[in-house]
Amino acid sequence: METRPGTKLEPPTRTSALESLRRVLGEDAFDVWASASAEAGVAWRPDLTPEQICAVARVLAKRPGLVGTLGVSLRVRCETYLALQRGVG
Amino acid sequence: MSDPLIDRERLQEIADLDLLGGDVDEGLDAIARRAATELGLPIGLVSIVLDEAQYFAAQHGLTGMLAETRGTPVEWAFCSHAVRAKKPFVTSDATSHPLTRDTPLVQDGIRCYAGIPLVTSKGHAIGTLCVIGTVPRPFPDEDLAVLEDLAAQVVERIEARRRR
Repeated sequence: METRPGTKLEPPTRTSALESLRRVLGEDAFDVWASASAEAGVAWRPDLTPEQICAVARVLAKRPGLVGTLGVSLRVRCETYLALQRGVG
Repeated sequence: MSDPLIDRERLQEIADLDLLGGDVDEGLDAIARRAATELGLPIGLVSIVLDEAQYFAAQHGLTGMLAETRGTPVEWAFCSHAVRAKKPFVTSDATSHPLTRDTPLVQDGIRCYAGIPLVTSKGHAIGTLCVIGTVPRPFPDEDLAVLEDLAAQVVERIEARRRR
């Protein structure tokens, strides 16, 4: 998997996002992701761009409770990756 | 032994305390500022350590990407070491510490760090009060005592949110 030179930050993927949700939420992670994807207007498919992952993470981050906490975590990772892509230092 | 960062009960407590909304508490910003000022350092943070990232619930002195994202991936976070161990984590020179020397934050100029874990009445370490500098410096016991006192104030304010 590609890693940005000097940052050691892998690009976010649907697989990595789902895995981080599943570690805490168990099998509910899939329904949570599907619901947030639909709200974000992102298709249920494996090859999402980092921008699409970030859009779903932003929806999750607005959810109440534990899902929102996990969403903030994903959102920070995605936004960090995108900021690095833009060269924000 | 499982990683405490992904402990569901710890993450649920962070959720229950409603610390991630971006409008948490100006009092926490004031404590972060005071921590930095008291120790003569440019940055003070109240960092909430999540499963995959840390989130800055309060901050003083951040600029650039960290101010924009209000956090970092958890593997970059010095604060994660204090949270996992439930003990202060201190490095006077992050370029020589085995847990920090290879992190992007060191490449970006962070050189010294002291973080006190924020341990709630339920026993969960949810984050840290920490200070950061861009030149190496030691943290004598007097400095850590100041941070411990301010960290206790942070926990008190955070716990008050549970009673609202």
